[in-house]
Amino acid sequence: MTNAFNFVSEIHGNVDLVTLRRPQSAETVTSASNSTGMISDSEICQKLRHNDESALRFLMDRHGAMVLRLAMNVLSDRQEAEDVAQEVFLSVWNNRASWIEGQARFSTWIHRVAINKAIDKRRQRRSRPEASEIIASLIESEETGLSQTEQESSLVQLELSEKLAGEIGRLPQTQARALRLYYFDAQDVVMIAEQMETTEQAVRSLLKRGRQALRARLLKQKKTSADDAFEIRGNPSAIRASR
Amino acid sequence: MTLSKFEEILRRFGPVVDLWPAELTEQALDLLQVSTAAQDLFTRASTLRPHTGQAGAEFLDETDFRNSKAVH
Repeated sequence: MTNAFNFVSEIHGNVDLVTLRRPQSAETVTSASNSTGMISDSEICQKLRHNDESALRFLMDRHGAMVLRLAMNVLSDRQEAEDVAQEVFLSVWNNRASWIEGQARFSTWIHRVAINKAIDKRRQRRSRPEASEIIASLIESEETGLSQTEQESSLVQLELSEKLAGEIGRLPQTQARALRLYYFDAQDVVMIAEQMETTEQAVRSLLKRGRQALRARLLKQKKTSADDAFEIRGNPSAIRASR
Repeated sequence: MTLSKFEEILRRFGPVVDLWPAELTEQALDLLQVSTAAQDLFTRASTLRPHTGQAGAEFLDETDFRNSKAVH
């Protein structure tokens, strides 16, 4: 999709500029680019219909900031909003032949496309399994009962990540592979399904069972630690032995 | 969700979806996805108030919001 164009988002202070850079360009709308407002969107769309790539750049200059702003308001995530802006303008380019003047103002149409794509992306984000929540709760359960200074906490986090990786390694092979791809390689369910040559449903099932097994292991370890601590607290010789 | 309820959310909380009440967000997004009127309201609100990343009501009062309708 990005073979034809290379979209670059540049931020200059509070002004967002989404620009299009092409390896080879014929700036046929150069004069228009220097006089925003002198030429209507309809005229630009006419040029777009004739495969004039500079017309797309002009539309991006004119509407890019608003598209990005709408996406930001829906997503509150700069990277995702920029992805949406890119998708919106690619959609404009890919549908240039089917754009019919008079159905709706171009600005109205592109704003609606931006809002819908941003909502779709927000919902895709939500449909991911609760990766961060699981990791956080695993870490939290591990941290319970530990006393550490803030200076030590980053080291503890690192140790916990290694511990988590170690625990995953003890799971059945397919569950472990799915969890590693998901948590450590940041791949989504679709990508994992492709890699493992299985269905998305199967991957979700593997992730679910893997997380349940991890939780069970960590709870068991936590209980063992608590039992050990109780024995040490109640037995002076054990305290001495532990030192 | 009705358009008037959506309008009230925009008026009270502004166009940053993360600042909307969690229990209303999905219904509001459902409407925003299908209603061109809701999309126009959202666009107008966004025109006036860029994303600031700050919590709190985006629109100071009713007048502020109503005036926003005349801008776009």
